Amino acid sequence: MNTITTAQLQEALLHVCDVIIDAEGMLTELDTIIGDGDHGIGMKTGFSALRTLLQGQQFSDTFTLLKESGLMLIKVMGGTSGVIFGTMFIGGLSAVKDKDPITVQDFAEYIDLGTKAISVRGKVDRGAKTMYDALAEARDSLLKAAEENADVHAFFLAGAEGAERGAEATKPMQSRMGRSKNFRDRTVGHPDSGAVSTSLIFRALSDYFS
Amino acid sequence: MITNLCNSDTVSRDFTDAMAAIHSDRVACVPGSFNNRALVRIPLDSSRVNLIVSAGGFGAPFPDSMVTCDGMADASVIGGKFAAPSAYDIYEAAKYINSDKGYLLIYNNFMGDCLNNDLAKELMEIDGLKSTLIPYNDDCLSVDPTAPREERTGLLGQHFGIRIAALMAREGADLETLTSVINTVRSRTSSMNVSFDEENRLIELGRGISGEPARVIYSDQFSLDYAAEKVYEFLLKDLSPKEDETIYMLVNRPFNANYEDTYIFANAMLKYSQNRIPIRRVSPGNYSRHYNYYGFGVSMLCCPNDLTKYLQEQCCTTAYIF
Repeated sequence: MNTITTAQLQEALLHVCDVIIDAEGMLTELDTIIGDGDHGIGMKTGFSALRTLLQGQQFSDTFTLLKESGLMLIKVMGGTSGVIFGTMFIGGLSAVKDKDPITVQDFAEYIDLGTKAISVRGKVDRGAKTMYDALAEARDSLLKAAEENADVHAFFLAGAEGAERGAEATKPMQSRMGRSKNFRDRTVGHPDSGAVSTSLIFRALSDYFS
Repeated sequence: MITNLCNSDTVSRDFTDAMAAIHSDRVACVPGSFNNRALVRIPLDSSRVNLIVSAGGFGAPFPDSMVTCDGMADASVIGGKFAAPSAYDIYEAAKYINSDKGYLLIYNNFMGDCLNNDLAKELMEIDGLKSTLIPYNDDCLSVDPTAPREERTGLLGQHFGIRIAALMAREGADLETLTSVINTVRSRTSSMNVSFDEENRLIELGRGISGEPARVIYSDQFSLDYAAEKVYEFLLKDLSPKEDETIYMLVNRPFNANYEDTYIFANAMLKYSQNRIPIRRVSPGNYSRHYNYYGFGVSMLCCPNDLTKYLQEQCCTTAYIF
């Protein structure tokens, strides 16, 4: 089976929220080493609000579910993460409009468009040691899995593995963006906290759909 | 890390509430605000250009202080702990003021602030509200000194531009004029942090507000006078004052620097400058307190002489006199 219903995606996002909220301490610690330490708190704030939203109503279509989720993150989180993770949710909405259930191909296109939107808004590309490194790897893996018409489980597993590869790849990089770039060579040897958050999101999706 | 007794999850909205309650004759919250992190100067004046200042919350209360006096910012928006405020909070403040003359969106050039102000501008455009983005990039040691100015982040130099633009807005200047003037003032402002490592007798220039390492370290002398001289010379070199400019300075006293040291340091710069290019006025104060090391933030403005009239009169905020 390679389709995803709105109800499934809403449940999966609730699981994502739990994972991110639980990871607050770890994300804060990572961001404190090479940043200003706000990432874990910001992610917890945003995904707690998202959790409340998702628990409070049943969405009838995927487009609205993802749009409202992204807007909530933008409204509540602030910081770089609010805009960037919000854009991850709303940047590719055209790929899922009027589609329910969506296919893995639709979801791969949705992530592809979201990734491109982040690149434009954040003026970021690979190698800058940001969440984009993890997201771009996840996107590539999802597009490949979709092309191979993978089932939902294999599809999200590919995305999780891609995101984790991308997050791991940020370790040896020296930061070129955001507050962490001012820490210069001290950033080498530590993964970017935003990239780790991205990998947690895709791993949580994969775990849910397994 | 800075220790506070307040709840870090709610500190920004609690602080906003507290400011509005205690200074209810000067400021108000935005009614119905989603996050309640914006303060507006009252009474509102939507007949002119308004200035909206935003910054991260918790330890950087200067935007809120600015709104408490007439002739600085018209609205302030603070984020959560160490994070830029959301675009939506900035948008809500603008929407509430509802000026058809437009807004200057002023913030320090950090990525989160840039992204959220960018997005706020887009949201405002949907409602027909025009605005200009003013990212302050005055911290000359936030990047390698040879790097382009656009890559610098900001410290507290925005106070000069805000004061000038706010008074010009009250005279009726339009958004285009104000944008041009504040960008000129911005380009003639330079700032840095100076910190003191007493144990190792080091004077450090350029330590970041989140602990980013210093870029210049002096170990030959350890005194306020010596530090004042080095900071003054460094900023002077960065700006290269022109003949038709006058120097103004600001010294920020973060939370763990002594009041006495701050004034003595500021006076040392004032005295030293008399044999170089004299400082017209130096304004020490508690502008922001989010460094966890001993030292000061220092900003220099080389003010074009046709704008100095806007800096003659000082304004009293609840946190400092500028």
